[in-house]
Amino acid sequence: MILKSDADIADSQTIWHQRLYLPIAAIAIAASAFHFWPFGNSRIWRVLNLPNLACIGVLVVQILISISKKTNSPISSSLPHVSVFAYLAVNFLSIAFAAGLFRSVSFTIKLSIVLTGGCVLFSLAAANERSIKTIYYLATVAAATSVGACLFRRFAQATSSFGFFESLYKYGSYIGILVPLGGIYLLSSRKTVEIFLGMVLIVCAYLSSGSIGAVAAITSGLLSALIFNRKRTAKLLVVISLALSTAALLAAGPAFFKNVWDDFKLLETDGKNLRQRYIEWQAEINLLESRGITGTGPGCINDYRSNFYYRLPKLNTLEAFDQNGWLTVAAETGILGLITFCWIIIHYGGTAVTMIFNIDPVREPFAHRFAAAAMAALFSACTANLFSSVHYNGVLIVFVLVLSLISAVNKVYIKGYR
Amino acid sequence: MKLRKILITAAIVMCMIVYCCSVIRISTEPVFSVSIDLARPVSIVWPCETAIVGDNGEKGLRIGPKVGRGWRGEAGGSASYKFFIPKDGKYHIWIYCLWFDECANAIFAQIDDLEKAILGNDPIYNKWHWARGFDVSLKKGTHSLVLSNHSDHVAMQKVIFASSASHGPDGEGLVFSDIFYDGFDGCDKGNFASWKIISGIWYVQSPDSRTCLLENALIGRSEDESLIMYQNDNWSSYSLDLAVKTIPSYSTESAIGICFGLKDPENYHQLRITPAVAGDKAKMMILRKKTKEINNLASFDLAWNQNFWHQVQIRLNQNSIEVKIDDEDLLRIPVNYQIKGGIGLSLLGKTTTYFDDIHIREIKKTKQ
Repeated sequence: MILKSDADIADSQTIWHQRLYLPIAAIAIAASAFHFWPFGNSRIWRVLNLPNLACIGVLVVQILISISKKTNSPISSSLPHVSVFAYLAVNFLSIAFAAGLFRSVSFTIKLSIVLTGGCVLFSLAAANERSIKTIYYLATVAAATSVGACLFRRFAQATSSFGFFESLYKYGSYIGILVPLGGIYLLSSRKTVEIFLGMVLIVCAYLSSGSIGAVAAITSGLLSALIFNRKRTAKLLVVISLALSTAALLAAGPAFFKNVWDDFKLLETDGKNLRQRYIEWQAEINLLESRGITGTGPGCINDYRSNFYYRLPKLNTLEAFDQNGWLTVAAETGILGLITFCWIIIHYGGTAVTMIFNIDPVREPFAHRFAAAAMAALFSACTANLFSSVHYNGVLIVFVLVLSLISAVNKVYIKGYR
Repeated sequence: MKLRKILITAAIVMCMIVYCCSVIRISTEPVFSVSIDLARPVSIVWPCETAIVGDNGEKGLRIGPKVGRGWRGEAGGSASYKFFIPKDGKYHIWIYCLWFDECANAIFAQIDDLEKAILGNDPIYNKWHWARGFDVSLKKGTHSLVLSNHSDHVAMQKVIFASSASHGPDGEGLVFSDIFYDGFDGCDKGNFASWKIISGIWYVQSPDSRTCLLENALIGRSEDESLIMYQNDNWSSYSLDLAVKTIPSYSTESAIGICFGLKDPENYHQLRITPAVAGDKAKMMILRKKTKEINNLASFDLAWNQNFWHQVQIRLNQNSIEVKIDDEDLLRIPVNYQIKGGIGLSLLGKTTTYFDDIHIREIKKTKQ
């Protein structure tokens, strides 16, 4: 009888995880590009779409494995940081203050499943350099698919839709996070083809964006790479990408500027009324003033917000859309919720920045690429959250992907789990 | 003798006093309205929300844009109110509202345990206005009103229950007082689900833009006989206005009928138009169908161009039926009974006809 050592068991489990979870992660990432297509009108599909199903499935499998004790790899090794659990705990506590129990409970369950299930899925799938690389390429393909579909719908078919996304802001948040992730990853490559594709992706993403939130998110991601990236060539390529994008946008003229300018100037079509972003921000600040401790309950901001508007656009055109994820978190879960959410960002952001400074780009070129891209995506997510929300169904999964990639790269390269 | 005179005089005076009192009492029958401030619901479920909706900062009830349409089951949302009715009677509902477009111009209203009905569906967009709703009989006491999501992107400030049809909303502002309107311009091809198709093929579609400047229209196709109806047993003394366009048919028996005072498919009055196969003429008849018996109340010929939109008006006064076509008074026939009931559209023979912009307006009683 041959006895296997702990290291052998761990290796075999890593391979097993990779074989099982990498395809599931691939499906989740690829499906996210299609948003709620093709059953967008179905409420069931909006909850049980492929990325969410993947998160639920992974959680169920991992819990069953942990219970069966047939493995010596506990579920805890793949769980997200404690800050995520603190944030979820505040969400669960806030349910007590919600006006509608069903809405707050369903929102919190969905948030918990995607945050924990997504982190577990991507952490287990990204177990080594090869699988991390695969996930980066998949994320890039997802971003390219989304951008391509949007360009096709807007310019070839001359429609006002944003590819598979029904909302300009949701699309902006999605590509605002994924384009810097894929773009910086490709720009940090040594292969000319990859660099070229990275530039094309960034330029096309800008052209398709249509909202100030998307433009700001992509730009902040690129600028963070420009500041923190330790490879000079990569910095130069970021500058070139920005210059090319500016040139392309100027050439596109009204096709690009009309939407972004309309979104930026924040006016109704009559030119007299403020558009909704400022009204939303103001209402959420007002709400925070009166419910700063308890919040409105997770997912329940709509039950309270309208009473805190000082005014509305003249023709009742204010849409129910979170125009600032930070304020929404604070309004829904109180100041404590905002603190724990910031803790998540600070923890993962700090890890990403530390990785960049600790990884030698010459000795560990891939590790540096991974870290730079993930950090850029996290900066972008923070910016996108200023103009929209990363909590939206379909956008949350890519935010979780970024957190998981930071954690996975840190595990593989810094903590030496390789 | 003197006493007798005094008694007679006293009796006459008493009679006069009683008569005067009763006359005064009748003429001063209190007309009132009960107003509900929609900004103050008893309970509310999102996407219905209270917010500042008026141009001058007035609060009201709103459903934001793109949150889902209730009539398609995309979203829920409701607001409940309680109100007190001081006297038994028939009440006429008005709503002060702001609609955005033909897909965003209605709200469901349910009073007590009655079936929910639509308020709005009128064609005034982007302007605050009063819209006439349905009529309801209410007993003295406290009642509940539940407004729920029919269309998104709507705002409302007030609902009033007027005790008299002649007593409209107070104050200035645009008033849409039709007791019924259907321009078939609602989203999802007109959403004319409240009509009841008895026979034939009826659908809503934009007619050929070359021949018509209007938007969607109700199109009826018939092989032998078709009928579509909109029932309401309480309508009386009304004016029915509609646009009609007939398509040339080679059948000599093809005709179109505009039914009024409709109680059921067997009991109604009808303006029947039989366009001539050749030429620009049509034969018109006013018919009364009572179960299986059909009486011809009047018939006449008139100029009628096929493939053109004609404005038809039928006025049901207290004791007459008046017909106007293209603003020309054509006929007035006296009747010694009250015509009461809904409306219908019918086709006979093999024909296709377009109908549009159907208005029903109450004819206010004038002092004789």
